[in-house]
Amino acid sequence: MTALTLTLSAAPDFDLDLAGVSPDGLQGLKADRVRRHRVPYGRRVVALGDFFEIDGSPDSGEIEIRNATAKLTRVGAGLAGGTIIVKGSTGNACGSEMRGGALRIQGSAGDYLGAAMRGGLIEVSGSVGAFAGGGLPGTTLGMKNGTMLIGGDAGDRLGDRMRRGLVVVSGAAGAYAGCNMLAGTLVLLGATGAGLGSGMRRGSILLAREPEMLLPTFTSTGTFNLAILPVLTRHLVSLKRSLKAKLEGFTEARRVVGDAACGGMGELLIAAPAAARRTRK
Amino acid sequence: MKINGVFIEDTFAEAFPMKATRLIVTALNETWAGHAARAMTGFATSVIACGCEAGIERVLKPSETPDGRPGIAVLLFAMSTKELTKQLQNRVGQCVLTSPTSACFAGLDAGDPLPLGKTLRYFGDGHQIAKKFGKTRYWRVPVMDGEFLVQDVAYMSKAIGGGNFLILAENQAAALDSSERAIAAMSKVANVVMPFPGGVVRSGSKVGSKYKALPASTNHRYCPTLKGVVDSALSADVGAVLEIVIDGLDVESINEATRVGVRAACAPGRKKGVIAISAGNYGGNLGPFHFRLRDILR
Repeated sequence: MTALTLTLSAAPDFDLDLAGVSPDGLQGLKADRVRRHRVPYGRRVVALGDFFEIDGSPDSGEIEIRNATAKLTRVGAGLAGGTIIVKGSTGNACGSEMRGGALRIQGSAGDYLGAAMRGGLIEVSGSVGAFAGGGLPGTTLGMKNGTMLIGGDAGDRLGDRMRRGLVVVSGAAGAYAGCNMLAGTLVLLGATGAGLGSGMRRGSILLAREPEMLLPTFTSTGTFNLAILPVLTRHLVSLKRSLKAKLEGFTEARRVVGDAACGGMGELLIAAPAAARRTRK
Repeated sequence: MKINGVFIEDTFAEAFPMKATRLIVTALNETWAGHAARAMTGFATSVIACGCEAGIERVLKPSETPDGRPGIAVLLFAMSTKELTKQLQNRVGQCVLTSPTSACFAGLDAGDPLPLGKTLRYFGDGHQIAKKFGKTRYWRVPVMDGEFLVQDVAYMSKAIGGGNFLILAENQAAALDSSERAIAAMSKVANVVMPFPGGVVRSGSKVGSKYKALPASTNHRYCPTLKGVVDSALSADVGAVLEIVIDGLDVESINEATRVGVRAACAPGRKKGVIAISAGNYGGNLGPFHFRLRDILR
């Protein structure tokens, strides 16, 4: 059974909401019925066939979206199982409230990527906007579980109010990464911006290099050999082999605890110089 | 049936169902992983009085451990889930948590979960940190040399305890040499441990005693100094008997351990004082697992 392919044939002028376009959401539908599947488009509702050439079957458990643009929003939102592969960039709130399965974006993504997600895997080869892994507007918690791998840069407030889960950013992270974190793990392999970990109560932010600045409410406790670091490294390499070169030798870290203004139970684990040097190559 | 002139008796070992788990204990180097593993498998020769039977299964290369450090795989066997849980917590808590640089992971991937870090984490007094990667949860417990990393749960498997064979020799030296050869060969078999000191037991027991308080007592029929006094199982030329007890995760592993163990035990041959190989049983009425020596060695 071949994957359901949706090839964008007409450029949308407004946001095209693809929240229900998932292997589980379209399960059992034939290609004709998929073409007639209604999706929100700006203030209107349109048929998928109005914008996409459609081939294959959703029962394969895999959907491939080709020629994607930033007008495609909420791709994979609420996904519970199966795989969505996106060739091209996407708009806001992709993978938000995901519960399982995998969303692989071969391009960049907008704001709120994986916001409030509860499970599954999101992999983006390019950069993402603000609030990735954070909460949706009006909610109190960010992502509650799952894994997010970002190949490029992340915008501001990455992991905002994050409750659990794992986010890896290979590029730079914007300002206020890990802001108000409650738990979970951020792995930041590139540069970081201002306000790192501001207001974090618990949780871990692993850094491959020294941050540009530390808030005065963070305190260094020293450099330690921590068994959790190679365990994490192995897990990440099992998800994405290319991370091996970046994380190899990450067994020792400087532990900086904070935010003391919010209990001080969070931590920044900054790779010890040897590992950091290897990562910067 | 004879191997190198050593007579293989037509008998069987009688074994019992147990519950078991495997743990992986790691440390900064093999020496300290060994200290922790030996401590936690100490005083675990027999469920008669130790609560569990345990031993080192094998040394692991760094590439085989979850944290990439040198490690040791250990197996713990107990008669019930409750006892295994208790022994696991006590032994890991007192012997691995306390050992410098150590970490402790589940060595089985499936089965009924047994609390490991789930309870030991409370040693952290509120400073412990949970980390969940994929489906596996770990606990980081702050200790004086850094952190003790422990997996949230270990997994329990059905297992078999009490596989055995007896080495009948002319004297102690011959019996011991034969036993050491057997243990050296058997230690390469996966999924089994030989829980007694050095893998060998010299005080084989029978169920019960003339003293009502004792659940077990010396197996007088195999004591060479009692020949002529009791209904001895030993011929006149037998001067020493040593037993090797095998606990394993499955029948095939105990078969394999018995096979390589008996063959290695027979290697010195009759000329070097090894007379016969036998096995301990209770007539076949107590334990559901019977390991027939001749069938295994055929």
